[in-house]
Amino acid sequence: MVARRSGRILAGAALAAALVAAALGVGAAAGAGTARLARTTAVGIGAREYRFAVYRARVRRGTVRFDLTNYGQDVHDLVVETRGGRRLGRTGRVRSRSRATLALRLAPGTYRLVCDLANHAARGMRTTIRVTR
Amino acid sequence: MSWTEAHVRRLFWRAGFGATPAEARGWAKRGRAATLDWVVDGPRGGARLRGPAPHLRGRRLDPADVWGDDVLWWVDRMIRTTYPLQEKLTLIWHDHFATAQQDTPLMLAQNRMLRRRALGSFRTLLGDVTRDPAMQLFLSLADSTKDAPNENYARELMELFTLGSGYTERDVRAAARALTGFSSRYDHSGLVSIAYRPDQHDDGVKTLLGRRGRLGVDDVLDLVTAHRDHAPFLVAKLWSYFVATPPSAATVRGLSATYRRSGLQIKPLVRAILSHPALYANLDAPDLVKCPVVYLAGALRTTGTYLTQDYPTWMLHQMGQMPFDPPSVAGWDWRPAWMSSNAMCQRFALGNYVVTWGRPRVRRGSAPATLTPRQAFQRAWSAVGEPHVSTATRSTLEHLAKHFFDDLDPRWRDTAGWRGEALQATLRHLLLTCPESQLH
Amino acid sequence: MPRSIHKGCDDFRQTSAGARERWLTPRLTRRQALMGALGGGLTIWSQQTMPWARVLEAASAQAAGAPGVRVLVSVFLPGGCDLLDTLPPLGAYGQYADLRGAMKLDAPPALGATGLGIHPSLTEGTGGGVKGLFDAGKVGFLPGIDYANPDLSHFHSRHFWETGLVTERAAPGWLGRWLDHHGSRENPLQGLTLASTLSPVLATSSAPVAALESPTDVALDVWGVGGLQERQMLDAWARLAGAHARGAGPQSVHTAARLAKSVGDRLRPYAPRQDGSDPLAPPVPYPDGDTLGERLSRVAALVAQPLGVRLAAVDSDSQFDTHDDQPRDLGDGLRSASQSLAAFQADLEARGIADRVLTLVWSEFGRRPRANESSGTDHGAGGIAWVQGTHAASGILTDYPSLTDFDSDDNLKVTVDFRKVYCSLIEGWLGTDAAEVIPNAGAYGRLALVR
Repeated sequence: MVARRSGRILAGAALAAALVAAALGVGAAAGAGTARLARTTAVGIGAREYRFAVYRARVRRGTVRFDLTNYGQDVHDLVVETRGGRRLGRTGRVRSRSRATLALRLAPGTYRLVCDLANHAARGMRTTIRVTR
Repeated sequence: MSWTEAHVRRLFWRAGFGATPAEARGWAKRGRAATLDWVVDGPRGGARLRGPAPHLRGRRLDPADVWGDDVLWWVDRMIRTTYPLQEKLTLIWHDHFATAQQDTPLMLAQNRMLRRRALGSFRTLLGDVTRDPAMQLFLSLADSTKDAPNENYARELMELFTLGSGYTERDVRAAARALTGFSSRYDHSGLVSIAYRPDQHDDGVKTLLGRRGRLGVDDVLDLVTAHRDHAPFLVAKLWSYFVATPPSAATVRGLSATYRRSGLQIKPLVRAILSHPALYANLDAPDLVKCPVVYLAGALRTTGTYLTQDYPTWMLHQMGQMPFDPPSVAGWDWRPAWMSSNAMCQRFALGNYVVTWGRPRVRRGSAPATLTPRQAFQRAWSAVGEPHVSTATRSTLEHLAKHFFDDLDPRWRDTAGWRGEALQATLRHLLLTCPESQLH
Repeated sequence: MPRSIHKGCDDFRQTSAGARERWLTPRLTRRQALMGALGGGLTIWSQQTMPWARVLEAASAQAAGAPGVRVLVSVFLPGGCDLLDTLPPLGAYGQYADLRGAMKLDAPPALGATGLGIHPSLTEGTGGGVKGLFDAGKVGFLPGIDYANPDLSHFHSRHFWETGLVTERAAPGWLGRWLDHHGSRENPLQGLTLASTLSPVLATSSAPVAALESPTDVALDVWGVGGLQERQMLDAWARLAGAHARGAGPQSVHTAARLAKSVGDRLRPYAPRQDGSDPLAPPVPYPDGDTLGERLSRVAALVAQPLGVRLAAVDSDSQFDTHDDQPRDLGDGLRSASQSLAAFQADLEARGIADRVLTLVWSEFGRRPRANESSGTDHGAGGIAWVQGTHAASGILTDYPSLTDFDSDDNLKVTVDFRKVYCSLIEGWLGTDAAEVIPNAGAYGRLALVR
């Protein structure tokens, strides 16, 4: 019966599954302790044609979890790079009205956030985020 | 008018998110006038949140940045506020001035504005809504300029927000021109501001609702709220959130007069609706369908359950009412339209979450299989906050309790505690989800 | 007013007054109608309330599992599927190659003697995929499909296709409206969406419809309670649902409670078993791990049961909005579609129900003939749809748009209005008057889509 119960929870809609995944954090494996999750800072990001809205411009060092929502019509993604252009992570392609999360451990510094589909970055989908001590 | 626990329960559900057994008993004793005052005016010093703040697996809510936490943040307020009517009106205004698909910080700012203005002057509320960034972006009022006026907001302003009828397409075009001038500014990480720029405003002469002049933003809002169709429109709309049967023409006239006399104040109008005898009709047979938000928040509030899980977010989506994401500018479809086989299946599923993680959870050893059906029912009923239950429902559930152990040798019943607990879980689940619990 | 080329969603709600024609019937509330209008997140399953006696009558009268009842399946390829690469015009290959440059298909297989080729991905799957079905006379292509003065917003165009109305005004889906006229008042399974939320195509104003990914989704389930106790719990629920209710609200609640149980009961036999076996397991292989294929396999399985399924809606999980790297994305999307649809057809035939199922595959618009600089194509007009089934008319059923004569936005000229196809399906396949569902149905003419 226990198995059935948890199966039922996870069997819900894709949305439910996405939420569970979001709650656990992509970088943190299921079962990761409270302490570790507490050091994760979430950064909400809205994507649309052709810009990002970043809901938190500065974050503390540690695990940064980007919660991307695509409010636009086109597919977008989010790539996190160092200022030197070294790619640290990328969400998958995110459809209109869909969401994705990307969790990265980031040291203090400035990072670039870009959409690397088509010419979206050139059209304005690029911004930066600062990670502080 | 007599004033009983049933009256209190009806009022607390319609004006908020239900009454706990203690509230029902306490306010029944204090009488009708005192109860209405407390419900409508709220506690002195304004709303407070009681009880523990939400912790989800040790994590505090982060409404702006974590997807879904915005919804939990609001649901938590509905559960813990000492002024439920204010949250109810905030929800009603979110439906009335429906806005969606905007960045979360803008939606949260709009939500705070709706709460601040929930029971004040409608004209002030309308002014703030008109200048609200989320609304302006949603209905393209931002960057509607004299050279390219956008009619979207002007149209919904009259059709959905204030009048419903009594205006023409020409009025829509005139209002659109008069509302031009708001300009958005962005930097590399999002919206910086929306400001009114006189050079983008069409200051030509327009004729709106029979008035001619160099009309501007506030003139439009003054004219639509002064229109004779406005008061009846808003009265009927607000009434529909609280009472299942439509108001009579005389009731609309009376309430419109109350509303106009007060200078378009929301609180006296709501007080009059909440005092109206029609609200207390059929106390034994509730006839208004709970919207998903009220169903969920009410189940948690009346059972004394605080947020420790994030299921409310996705359950609200599944049940068809995701706060901050109404399906269109017309808001959600209320009342019978909430219901369907799918929606009911989801509402049924909610019982699992509340009974597993909420205050009504069945504690080990708490419900032996040796209880009589009546005792078993009573225990379940108390555990879920003593909801209104018809005698038919009660007898159905006692019948279930009576036969729940039919497959068990009677001699084993005193050692079959787990079966008694399964019965309790089932009874509590059905009490929380049965057709009666969908109504208030 | 010239339609703008896709500018993103800033202009999403910008409409002229004249464009907002008010078609809705008065009994439809704005909200009921609007659902799905904004790209579909929320869903509503509405139903009328009716007295018990009529309910029983309706249920027995329906017996809609009656063998022989025809079923229409809608398969949506989201994003705007490209016509030129799906059916490259071999007869005008030079112009095609010029428009598409480096991303062109080099030597696409020919589609019989039609003068058209076909994307290689559409040859994949059982029996040669969609091309195999075409060769067997079971597919009719509809190149150039769209509507006059096309709107290149995904949301707008999708809403038009979903409702069968070129208006931003709220409305139920075109198939939902058909159910409102001809469906049961009692059987939500008549309009089946294979997803967790209802397809806007099947949104109704009065007829009950259902959405599910799997039969387990719709069970009324109390965690930790099974066996005899579960049956007793469900009996209690049935009694609670059957109690007398007065007034619109209580009646809608009780009807929904009753329908929820009946849907759960009717699908219970098809839920995966404790031993891991799946009663809906298909008799033919489907592509591994392909969501479209899985959903279609459930459609086939449920249509084969006496459940009264009349209409079904399935969305592809692939991405046809190929602004960049079209060769990869379109190839992947069409491969999934081809493998899944070919397996679906084989499945229907293996189950002996192929003669009563017709499938319409569609997308919200086409793409710009000239490639962009990202090896992709932007939103355009004149797309591609097809009908599939043993009774589908086969061949190229509409005119292929010219590659030299474009519209003022450099898009293909539309050769057939999608409402012509809807009217033809309603009359030719479902056998009812199209005017009940599509306003001004007489104006569109008809195509022979069914044989």
